Amino acid sequence: MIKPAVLLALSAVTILLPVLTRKRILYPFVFGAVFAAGIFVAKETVLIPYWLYPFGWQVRIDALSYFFIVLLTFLVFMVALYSYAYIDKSDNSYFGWLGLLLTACLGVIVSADFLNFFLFWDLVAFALYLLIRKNQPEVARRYFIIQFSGAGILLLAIMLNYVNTGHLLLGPVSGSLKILFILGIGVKGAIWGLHFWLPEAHTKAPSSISCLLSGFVVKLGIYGFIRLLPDSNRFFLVLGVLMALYGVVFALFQHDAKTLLAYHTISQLGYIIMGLGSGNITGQTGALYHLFNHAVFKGLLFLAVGAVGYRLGTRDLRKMGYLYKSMPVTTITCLVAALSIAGIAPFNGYISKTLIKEGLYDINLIKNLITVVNYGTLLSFSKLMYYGFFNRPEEFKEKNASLKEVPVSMSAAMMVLALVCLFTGLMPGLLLNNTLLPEIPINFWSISKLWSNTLTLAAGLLIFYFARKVLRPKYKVINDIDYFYRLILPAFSRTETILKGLHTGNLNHYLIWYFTFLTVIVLLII
Amino acid sequence: MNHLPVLLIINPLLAAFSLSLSIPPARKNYKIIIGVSAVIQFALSMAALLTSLQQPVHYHVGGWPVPLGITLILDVSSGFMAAFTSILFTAAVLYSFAYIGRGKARYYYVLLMILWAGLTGMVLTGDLFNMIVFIEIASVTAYSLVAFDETSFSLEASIKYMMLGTVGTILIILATGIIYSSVGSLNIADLYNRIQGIPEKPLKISIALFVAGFGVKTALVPMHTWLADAHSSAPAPISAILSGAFVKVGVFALFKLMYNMYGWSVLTSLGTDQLLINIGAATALIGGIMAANQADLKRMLAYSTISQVGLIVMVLSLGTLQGLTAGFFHMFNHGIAKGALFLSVGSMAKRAKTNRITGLSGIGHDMPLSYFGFTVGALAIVGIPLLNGFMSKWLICSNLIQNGHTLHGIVLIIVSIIGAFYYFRVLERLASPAGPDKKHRETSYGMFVPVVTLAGLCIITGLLPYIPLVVIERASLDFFSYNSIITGIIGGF
Amino acid sequence: MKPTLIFVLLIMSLGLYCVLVKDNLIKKALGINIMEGAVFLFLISYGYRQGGSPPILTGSETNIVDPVPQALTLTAIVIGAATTALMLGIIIKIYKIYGTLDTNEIRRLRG
Repeated sequence: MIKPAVLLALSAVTILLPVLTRKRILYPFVFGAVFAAGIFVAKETVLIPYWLYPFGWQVRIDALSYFFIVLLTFLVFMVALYSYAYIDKSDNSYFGWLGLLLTACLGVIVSADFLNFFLFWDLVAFALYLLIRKNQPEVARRYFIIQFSGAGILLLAIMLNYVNTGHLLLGPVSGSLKILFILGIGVKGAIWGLHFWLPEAHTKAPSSISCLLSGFVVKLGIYGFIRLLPDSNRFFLVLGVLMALYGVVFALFQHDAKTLLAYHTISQLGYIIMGLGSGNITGQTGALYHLFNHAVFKGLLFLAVGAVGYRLGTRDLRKMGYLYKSMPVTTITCLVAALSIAGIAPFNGYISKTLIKEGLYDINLIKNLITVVNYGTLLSFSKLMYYGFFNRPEEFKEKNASLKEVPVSMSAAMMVLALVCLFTGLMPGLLLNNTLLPEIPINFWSISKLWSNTLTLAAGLLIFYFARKVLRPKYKVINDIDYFYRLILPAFSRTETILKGLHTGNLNHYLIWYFTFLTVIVLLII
Repeated sequence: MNHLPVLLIINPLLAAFSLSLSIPPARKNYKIIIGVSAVIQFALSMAALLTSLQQPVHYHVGGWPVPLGITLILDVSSGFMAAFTSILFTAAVLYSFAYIGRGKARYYYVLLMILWAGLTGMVLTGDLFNMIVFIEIASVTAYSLVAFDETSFSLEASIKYMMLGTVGTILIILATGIIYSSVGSLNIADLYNRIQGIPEKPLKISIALFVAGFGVKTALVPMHTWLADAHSSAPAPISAILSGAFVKVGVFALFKLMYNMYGWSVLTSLGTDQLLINIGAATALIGGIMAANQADLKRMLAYSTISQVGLIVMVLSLGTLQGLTAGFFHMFNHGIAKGALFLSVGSMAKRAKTNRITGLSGIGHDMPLSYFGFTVGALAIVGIPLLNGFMSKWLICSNLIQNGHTLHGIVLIIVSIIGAFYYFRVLERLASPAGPDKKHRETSYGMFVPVVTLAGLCIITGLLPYIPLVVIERASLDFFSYNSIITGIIGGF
Repeated sequence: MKPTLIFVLLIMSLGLYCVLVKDNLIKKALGINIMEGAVFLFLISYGYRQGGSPPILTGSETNIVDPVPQALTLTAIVIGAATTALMLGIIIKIYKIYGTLDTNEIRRLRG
């Protein structure tokens, strides 16, 4: 068993990778070593006193943290493997920032005191800023400012909690502070109302980073909810349903493949939150399992779309097609991921969605809404697969059909993820028993369940066939709620202009201010 | 080692006077004289800090006993401030060797050394009027150094600074007069014992006058108007010193009077602590908002200084020991980071021959070391984790909210977010790919050592906050219990 | 209230008027000097003792006025002189560059 401090030190080494060696081929191996360390880490609670002495670091690895650590290190390992070929040869610092992201996410998961939790929370946002800014500095800056503001709300909540409880250890918070914590954590976790940064960030970031963003970083919000707000079931149910529906509806009408995937992340996050709010062990297990699965298949989807973009140069669904001939590996892995997210047996999405549905057995309204969401998911992924890979538009025939498959490192990463989708679907016990989640006595392979599953698939494909024309990707700018947030911005520039106008540069005015202030103070104090 | 306080003040004065003699050795070898003097001063202040950690030194100038004579107190808080200003000054002197051209350099170094002596005297003295004298020494040299470049902007900034500053000094002298006429003593520790007896009106008026008078020196709102002009028109090392050390020493002096002369309970009963904390909040907000709207990089940094000083004043006005620790820590962190910022901007602006942000775009590629210093300083002030600003902002926010001032905690958070906004905008602009018509500018020489050292200090303090914190905790303890320490040494008046 | 205090207030307000209202930089410098004069008067007036002799060491003094405020005032006068000299020097240079001494014109730094 590896001590937690060793795991943390090893991931800190990855930050210095570009400095230590220029041979890029070594980088994925180091990340693989971190993955191995993550699997064998000891589940214990230690206090590391010499980190930020005299504040120290309370490190806690329990079953929940272990689950997240395995997911994180695995995903980063796959992304590092993929990035070996995907990232421009000249840019090795990317791997250093990737290591920073890894360390920061690890820090968030293992911290049991609020100081370090907050420190690494901010560091995650900063690492993502560094990763996105190479190609899209504007987007990176906007992302960071939004996350930093959310972290500011979180800081306020932490401090008020400190006043209430008198200590800085991570734990469930009491009533009135819950709203502040929800707002603070929700900015990173992309809950509805604070989700507006997500489509832009995911679309404009490099695909490997979108994979990590969607796959892991927004899940840190869920992690925060689990640790800090353990019994807010009603709220989570409502929020989850809202997010699930909203995400699917917006996703259906996108023309850019990555924006479609980004809105789906919101939808699946809604699923997870619904499962968290179900109140019983089945639903919550399903939520956590869906968290893992979503990371795997959504990550795979982003990597596949990224592979298409790598060869084709665009991710616009209007320009794709014919790819099933030229890029078979990408097509197959993408198909696996699409089936998983739609919840089709025997892939992992089926297991987790069934678990969540069983967990919410007593609320019929929600079950019906879930069915609607499932159909929507099926429809949008049929759209993605059809227009992305299987369609045969004449105009793109030569260009698309003559592409080469992606390099080995990228396809290897994608295939591993697809295999994980399959295996965690066929053998849920592998992950469920070894981590924290108990054995759930549901027969996933009962004939009735499989039959209804196949019926859903068939019905969905049929609806797509008839609705093909409606769902064709068209260029349409769909305004999300950030339209309303932007309306507030002119107020700030008005304040700035007024204040700037007050500083006239005229010495007389400055002296008058001074003596006015003096008079006011003297009158106040006397 | 008992003469250490006086040596700290005399050493730079000696260097200045020897340099101002118009003899050939002074004219040709000024760099050697100043370099040696700076190294000696740095060593002396570190020695002073170490000595004060063992036991405070109490020096009677001229041998006159208290309360007749002037005393110099070297306890951990004074030692800490002296050491901290020495770090900045040494970096600035090293930087100035490369930055200031030969023509007027002698006068520059004379003024710089006198400024150093003035600032060190301000923190070391235990006598009220002596503090005014040192304030004036430091201020007058600061006025001249701001005007050093003799461009229209520098002169205009200097005259504005001078007028506002002199009025401030007049108010401080008036307040001292009121205190002396009511009490009859000028020693700070002695005054603490006697100030209970004076009638209310003079007490209140003197507090108001002190706040207004020191407010100009430390650029509290609405007396901050000179700082943006002065710090943007001064030569880069002078901006670094003024922003990094001068305003901090001013805050230190103000709060020394508030804590150790009046006693914090008096201030609480008058409501002055509430006034001070609100002034601090207003300063922080106005500084932040103004900084977001500037086209000139050095002016933006100057408004950022105003903002951070507002935060320091907010947390020092709480009246608690932890508040003092957080305040001193932020003084140290901001001083180091702002020093790195101004020095790196100086070298970049000198190459690009402009101070405007649009004119400096793309320069990060040509001057990676200076850009590294700038980045570390900017990230430190914004509050990125693992750099020193994060820890001090955390401590300030914690202290504010723990003492019930939630609204002021929110002000700190808002100021941080605005700070992230304008600092990141500049970082992006400096690193953007330069346009095809820009000339290729070479990297700076010899000026990057101080920048990189200060940046490295930021990083080290961020990862190991223990190193300054252990000193700062002792410093705040000594500051808080100043009067009992003095009484312990002298045994009563 | 001591009678000198009235004069102090009077002179101070005169100086204040000069500093705040006049636009010419030299007049402002003069105003600052007048304000300083008021402060000096204030400092010394509180050192006065009824029937006291000047504070000179002759060996047989019985009642002397308080020498400390006189020391303070001397120091303050020196400070004032130095500051005024510096101010006037810079004002001369400003006049050479700007061509005017009006504070409404000397406003290149603003905002």
